[in-house]
Amino acid sequence: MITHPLGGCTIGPDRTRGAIDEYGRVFDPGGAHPADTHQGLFVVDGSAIPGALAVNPTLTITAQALKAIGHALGPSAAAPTVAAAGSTSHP
Amino acid sequence: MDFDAVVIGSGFGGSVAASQLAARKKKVLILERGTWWISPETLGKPPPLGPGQQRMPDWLAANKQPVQYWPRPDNKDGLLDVFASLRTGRHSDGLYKFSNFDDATTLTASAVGGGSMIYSNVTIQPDPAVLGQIGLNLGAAEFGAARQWMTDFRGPLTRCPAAG
Repeated sequence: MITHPLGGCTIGPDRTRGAIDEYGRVFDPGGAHPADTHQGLFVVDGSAIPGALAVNPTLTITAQALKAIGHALGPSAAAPTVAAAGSTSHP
Repeated sequence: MDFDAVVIGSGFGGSVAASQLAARKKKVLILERGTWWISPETLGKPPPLGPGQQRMPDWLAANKQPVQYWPRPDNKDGLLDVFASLRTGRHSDGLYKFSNFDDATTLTASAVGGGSMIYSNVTIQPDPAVLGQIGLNLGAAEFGAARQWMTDFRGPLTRCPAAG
């Protein structure tokens, strides 16, 4: 029995050994290079994690998602305040 | 309606992506197949409310969001609650779904918040040797950022802007 199944769209060096790169970008099977990726398509959930972690995966999934989205979007503005995040979380 | 980004799922991956996009003033659509779930009993001490804020159950009601209540496995009615929250063809909003495949049987859940519904505040950093073995390039900086994200958003996600 597995309590925290991970993987399915796992990180790898190129499309022959993974579905996405370390920044969550999905490899393009039609690309000229095996590591070419699609534009604007990302995997940022537990399916990206390439193997069992031996601990609960919550922090790892969060860290990997932040890494991927931070790479795509560039450095974030300052951490949101309670009021600002509340207004954006529930528009 | 036009959106800058579409995020599929609202768990620790999707909510991170959506929050980071929204923090950069992007218009985001989150797709989530599950409903909101709320504990029947108040767990712990609710966070204090600031001016213009309301508790999540009140926000959900005011915004006509689909909400259900957690099963209670710790009392005599708990088993009935678990069966009542199975996700089936006749009960497509259920919490638990059994899926039978050729080589595996899975029990999955569907909810706004995804895995955050059940993670019990457990945030353990894996052994670096394990990360190296599976080829996952995450270090102290990335795990530190993840802990900071959880701290920054725990408050905002439990206190909602008042209606109106």
